[in-house]
Amino acid sequence: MSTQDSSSERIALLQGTLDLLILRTLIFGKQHGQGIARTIQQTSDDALLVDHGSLYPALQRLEAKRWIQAEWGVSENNRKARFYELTALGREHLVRETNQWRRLVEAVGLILGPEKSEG
Amino acid sequence: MFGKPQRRRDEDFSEEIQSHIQIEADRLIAEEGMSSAAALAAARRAFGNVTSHRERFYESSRWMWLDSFLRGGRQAVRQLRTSPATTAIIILSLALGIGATTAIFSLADQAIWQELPIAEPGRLVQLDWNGLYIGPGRGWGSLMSYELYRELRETDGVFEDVFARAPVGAVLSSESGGAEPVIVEIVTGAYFSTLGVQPAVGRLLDDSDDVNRGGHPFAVLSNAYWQSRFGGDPRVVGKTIKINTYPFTVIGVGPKGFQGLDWSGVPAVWVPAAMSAQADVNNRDFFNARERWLHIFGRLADGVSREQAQTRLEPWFQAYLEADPKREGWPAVTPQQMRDFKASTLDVLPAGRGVSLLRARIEQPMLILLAATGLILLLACLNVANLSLAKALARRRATALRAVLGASRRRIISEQLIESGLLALLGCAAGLLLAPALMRAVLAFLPTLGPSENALGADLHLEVLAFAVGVSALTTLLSGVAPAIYAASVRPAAAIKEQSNAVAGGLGFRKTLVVAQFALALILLISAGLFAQTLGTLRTQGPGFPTSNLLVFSVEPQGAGYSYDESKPLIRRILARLEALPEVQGAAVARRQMLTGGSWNVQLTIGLPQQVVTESSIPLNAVSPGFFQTLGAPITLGRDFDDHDSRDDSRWGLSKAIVNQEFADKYLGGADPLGVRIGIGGSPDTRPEIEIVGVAATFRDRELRDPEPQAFFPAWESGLDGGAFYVRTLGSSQTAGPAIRSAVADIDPSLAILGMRTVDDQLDRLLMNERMLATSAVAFALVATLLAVIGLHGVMAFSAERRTKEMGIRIALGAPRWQAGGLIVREAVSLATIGVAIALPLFWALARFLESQLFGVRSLDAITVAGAAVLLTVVGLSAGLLPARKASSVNPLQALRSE
Repeated sequence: MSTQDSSSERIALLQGTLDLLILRTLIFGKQHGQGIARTIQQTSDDALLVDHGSLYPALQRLEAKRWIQAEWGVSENNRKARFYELTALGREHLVRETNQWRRLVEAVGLILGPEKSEG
Repeated sequence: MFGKPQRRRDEDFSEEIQSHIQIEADRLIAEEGMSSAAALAAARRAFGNVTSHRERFYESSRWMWLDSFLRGGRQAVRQLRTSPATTAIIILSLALGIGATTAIFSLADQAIWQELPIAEPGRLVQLDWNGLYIGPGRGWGSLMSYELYRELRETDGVFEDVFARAPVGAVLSSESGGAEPVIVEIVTGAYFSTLGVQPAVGRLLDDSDDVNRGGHPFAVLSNAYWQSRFGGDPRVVGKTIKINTYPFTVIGVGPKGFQGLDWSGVPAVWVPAAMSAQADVNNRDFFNARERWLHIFGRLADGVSREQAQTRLEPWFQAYLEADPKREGWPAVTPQQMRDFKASTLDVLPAGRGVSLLRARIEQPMLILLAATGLILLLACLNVANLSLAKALARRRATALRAVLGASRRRIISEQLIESGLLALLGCAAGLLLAPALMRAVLAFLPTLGPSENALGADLHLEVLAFAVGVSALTTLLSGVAPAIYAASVRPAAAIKEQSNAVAGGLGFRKTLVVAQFALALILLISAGLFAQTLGTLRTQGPGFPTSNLLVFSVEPQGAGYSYDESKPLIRRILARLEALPEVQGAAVARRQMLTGGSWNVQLTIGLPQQVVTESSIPLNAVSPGFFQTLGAPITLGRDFDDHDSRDDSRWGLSKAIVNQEFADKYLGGADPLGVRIGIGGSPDTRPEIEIVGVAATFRDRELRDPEPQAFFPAWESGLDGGAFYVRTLGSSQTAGPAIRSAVADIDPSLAILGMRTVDDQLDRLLMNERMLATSAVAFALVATLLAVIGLHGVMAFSAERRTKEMGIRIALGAPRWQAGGLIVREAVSLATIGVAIALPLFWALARFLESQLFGVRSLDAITVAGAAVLLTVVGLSAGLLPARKASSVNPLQALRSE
């Protein structure tokens, strides 16, 4: 039902990684939903596709876990928007998850081998 | 998860999405120079299906289940309100199915299957004499003599213990209350210990209370009687009650819920067999070896089966059969009778359910009624399924549309589930309310036998209630939810586009349901026709004499302290007093009340030149002069009895008789009946000495079905210790009642008038089975037909709507309008006809089951069957008419344009 074009060079997010990315995005301060999606897409050079259908439930989920909190504010264009902010609990979780993620990437990298360099 | 439940309203969430789209649009305008409209559209596209996201947001809310339940409930109520007629019919169908099944089954269970509230009812057995018994009897069922009981009790290794019992009617009085007729259960000493029941107060009777005749004036009250007459006062122990004016001391009260062995004749009091002469007004020699008056029960010894018991009793019983003819009082019998007597066996029958006269009478009608209610439950379920399917199918496109707009499948299904559940709940609740009312209605048909109330209560049988509720609720849920599951899972675009084809699958199923409904309705309609005709025939035929303004009541002088010898003069005084009343046109007395289903039967010996014994027992009665005139049954030959046909001290026994026309035709051939002599009894030493002086027109005495040969003797010549008075009143019998009561009270205020009622009322009681079956069958048939019509109409209306376009084309191409409508009517009639065609062989198979309850009509009565079939077909036709009219009045242009 989503209407995004699924061009082949874009990578669909792994389950669970979206949460991590959202938390990571929020480390620079308050952001609204559209901003979060945009930031993830831009920072990954448009390689990652954020399905809006997953974004809002994810935000909802994180809010429920009290890793982020939200309040209504005004955007740079004077639009009313709901801004999300990292909580102390969320920050702790982010650190822990980031370390875990790095270890996972290293381990997977070791198995997959070094032949392809980063580009 | 355990934080405070900060619920976000979904309005808040929509706002967030709107803001997201706005910000994205702003960005597109700023960064890519789009026009604001294009930007907004692009942003929306990029975001995807807004409703779907909102839905998913909604479902992530942790209070969702409760909220969606409430929403579903509101939605369900809304939906049910949009079609109040359908909702009402579904609820009523469920209520009726559940109510009727539960009520009838609960009654049938109590009346037919329920075991006695005693210890290990499975070990209780009753003994039944199977063969020819020689000797007089009194009572009903498997009657045995006291002698047989006494010897049986001495057998070893079969029974833990044995007791005998006999119910008798008596008048009970106490300090606290006046005289009232009750049932007294005469029991031998081991009654309570063998049944294994414990007293509520005081002690129960035991063997020590059953030793010397007349020496143990002790009584045990039933718990129910104790509650109603003594207010449950434990100080009743030691008090004196009078049974037929003889004083008994109350020694205890039976346990709660224990009502003796017969639910149709519940005793108020138990007395020991040693006191039977005092407890029974008829003052007979019950301990005589010949007279049978007892039911014998035993509790099987541990580990002994019924079959083993029967085998082990065999030698003892053979010895009894050998010894019996050598006993004093053995009458002269024919060799054939002797052979039959010697060939008798003693059967050991299961008796955990006790004994019941009424049970035998109502078992068959009850089972028929039960089968009918089963059909009604099935029919109700079919109807509910049909209507629920109709609703779901009609809503199918709306459901698909909702799916497209983003409602999740789970949500759609759960909403339907809630709606169906609500329906089921309402239906079941209504059924629960209906069941006790129906039970009381059926109970009202069952008469009480003699003075006791029957023990059947309006308590619902919980397992059956659960079964009926379960079946109904399941039907409602399945038929409501299954189409919703299908509708929600089909690809929405297809569902919206599709018109007739996919829906036709559901329609086919609904047609099958309607056919089944018509089949069931036909079976019930034919049964209703047969039972109504049976009742009608019996009612219009009547007993053979006019029953209007005819009152009947009984008096038992010995209950008020008169001796046997004083009884007949008292009865004559009462009769003379009644005849003198201005309200009374005529009055007479008969020894035995008529039209009660019971009788006094004896074989007669007829002294034609060669002596003839009637092959079966003849119902007898002793009647006063003027009896036939009071009834309005003419004497066709000879004369009535007169006051000279009376016994005084110098003469003994009966000398005159009147027989009915049936007797004359059957036994006297063409001979002149007058002057023929008859004798009471069928043994070779019976001497025909009673002269036939008259022939009366035949009327029904015992019951209404077939006329029986009958003989009457003069009441004033017979022993008359009580009698049934028949009073033909001038004007309404209601107004004469009080005058009659005060006339009797003038003679002796302590005389109880027993069971005063009109003979019409007596007929109603006699016809209780027929009335019960006819009334319920007609009610069920009407309901069934109505449900079938509703089902068919619904299907036809749906089918007509579906074919609107086809009709439009036909009419546009020049087909006459009636032809378009004709298609619908033809389909309706053919569905009804298929139902009828299926039902006919089914009914043919069931017909034998009904036969025994019918009179004046065969179970496969062509007119009734054809009438019911035609009626249903016409009804089917009318169910198609309305949709047909709508179909034929369709505007072809509009029809083609629609959809």
